[in-house]
Amino acid sequence: MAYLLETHGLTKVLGGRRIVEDVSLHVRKGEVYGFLGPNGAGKTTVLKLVTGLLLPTAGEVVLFGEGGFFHALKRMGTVLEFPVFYERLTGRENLELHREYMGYYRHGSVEEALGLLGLAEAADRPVKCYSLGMRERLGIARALLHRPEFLILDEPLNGLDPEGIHQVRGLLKGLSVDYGVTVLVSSHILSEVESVADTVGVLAGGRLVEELSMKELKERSASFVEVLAKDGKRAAFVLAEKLGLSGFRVLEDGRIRIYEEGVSVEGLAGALSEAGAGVLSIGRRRETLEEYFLKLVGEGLQ
Amino acid sequence: MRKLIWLEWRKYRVGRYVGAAVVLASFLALFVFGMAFFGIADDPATGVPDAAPGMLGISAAVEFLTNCVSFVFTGVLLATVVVGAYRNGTMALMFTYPISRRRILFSKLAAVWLFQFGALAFMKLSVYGCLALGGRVYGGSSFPLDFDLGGGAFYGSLFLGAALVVTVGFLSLFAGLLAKSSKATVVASFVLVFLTQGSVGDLSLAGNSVFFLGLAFLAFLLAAGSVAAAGKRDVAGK
Repeated sequence: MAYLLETHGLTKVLGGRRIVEDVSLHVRKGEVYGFLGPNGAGKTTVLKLVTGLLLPTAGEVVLFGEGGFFHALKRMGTVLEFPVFYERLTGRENLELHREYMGYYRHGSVEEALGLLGLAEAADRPVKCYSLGMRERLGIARALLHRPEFLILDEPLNGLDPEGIHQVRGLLKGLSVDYGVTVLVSSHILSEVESVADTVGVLAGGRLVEELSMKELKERSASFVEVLAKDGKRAAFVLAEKLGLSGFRVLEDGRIRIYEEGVSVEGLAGALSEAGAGVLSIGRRRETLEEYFLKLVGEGLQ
Repeated sequence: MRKLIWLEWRKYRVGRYVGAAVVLASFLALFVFGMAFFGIADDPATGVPDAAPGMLGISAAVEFLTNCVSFVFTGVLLATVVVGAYRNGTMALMFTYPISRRRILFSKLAAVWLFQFGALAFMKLSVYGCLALGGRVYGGSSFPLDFDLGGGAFYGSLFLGAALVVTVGFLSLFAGLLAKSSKATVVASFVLVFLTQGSVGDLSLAGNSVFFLGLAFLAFLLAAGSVAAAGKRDVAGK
């Protein structure tokens, strides 16, 4: 399997605290990898370790099949945390500087990147006048400017309006499918990357709790029977005492989810009605990916 | 390396600083010119120049004023180009480029040093030039014009002095980096002014060349150490 990025047992201790521990990522060439985790899980720290801004306490990073960052950096585009710029310079000047530092002189590349992210009109305004969303887009434009093989984006949809989110999502998928660019994109919301990611890695409490393809993730999200009864307490009593079920959960809004296999919807409906619980709705449902993600995160934190 | 230095100047719009150096040089030239030829430093009661001890010739005043301005100017530049870059995250951005961190940091220090050296030499030459011109026009001066623009030693001493002053000015950088504050860099530059140019009663280190050379050597060592360690440290973002 051709991995463009591998990390082996990556660990970082800062100020005596283990920020990330034993993280082993596997990013395949040409895929979009969604790096998920709640705020404070250590995603940015891992990305900084991957780009060499932080030095690992233990473990190693292998980029493009080799150790060492120096040559890899030329083939990468990165946006970490909030993209920073030279505020007094215009958007165009910032991109021209980036081009000089990357040693990439293709004619028209700056205009192309600005146009791709819808910034052509604002190109000659100083960056200090840009909105948060424009800065995010300019950061992505800068990361794409030199046509990298590997793009690392840390929460790139922060601050974007719905149209911007749609545009960036389409861009990421297009880069992967049409140009074979490998994309590692972090987010704390699964739904942000659900439609574009091929693989996801879930980080919680500084540890990688799961790394699986979106297909596997969809298969693993459990199915359950959901009941909404007039008398929720009675319904729960019937499930536990009369039907002997233990694999169910009562949600805050009164809905009851029964996860046990082999439970028939008809049988449940009959038993609950007979006991006078007053079934308002009942049906088989599948856990959303977001719910499954939250469950994984919860398990990881425990 | 030349390209990296040029890019630093371009990023921070060096033209603005050139303009500031020209304005400062003009003010200093005007002030010292007034001291020498219009008697603005003369005691009104006696009509004799009211100079501080050890500042009998005009060159002492020129050196004092230009060096003070240079220390503060160096501090401001270092606060912007180096300490500010660490603080606002642009240093982390620079370190994602395929250029060694040592070269990046060295280019920043070199960009400030070269600019400051040029600015200080220009300031000194402008002021001395104006004084020499005034000497020809007005003849007499309140302070002795104790310099010779035609002598090679004058230029050797001027350029060497400028190089040392700018190097010592770099000490403010390390105070700023230690305190992780741009303001601390500028404050440290004022401390350097007092330390190297000021006096407390009769006590002054202003003319102590051993002390000054020691400070320059220390600044050089710290700069070399910082550049050497640049690749071995974590870089925080904004």
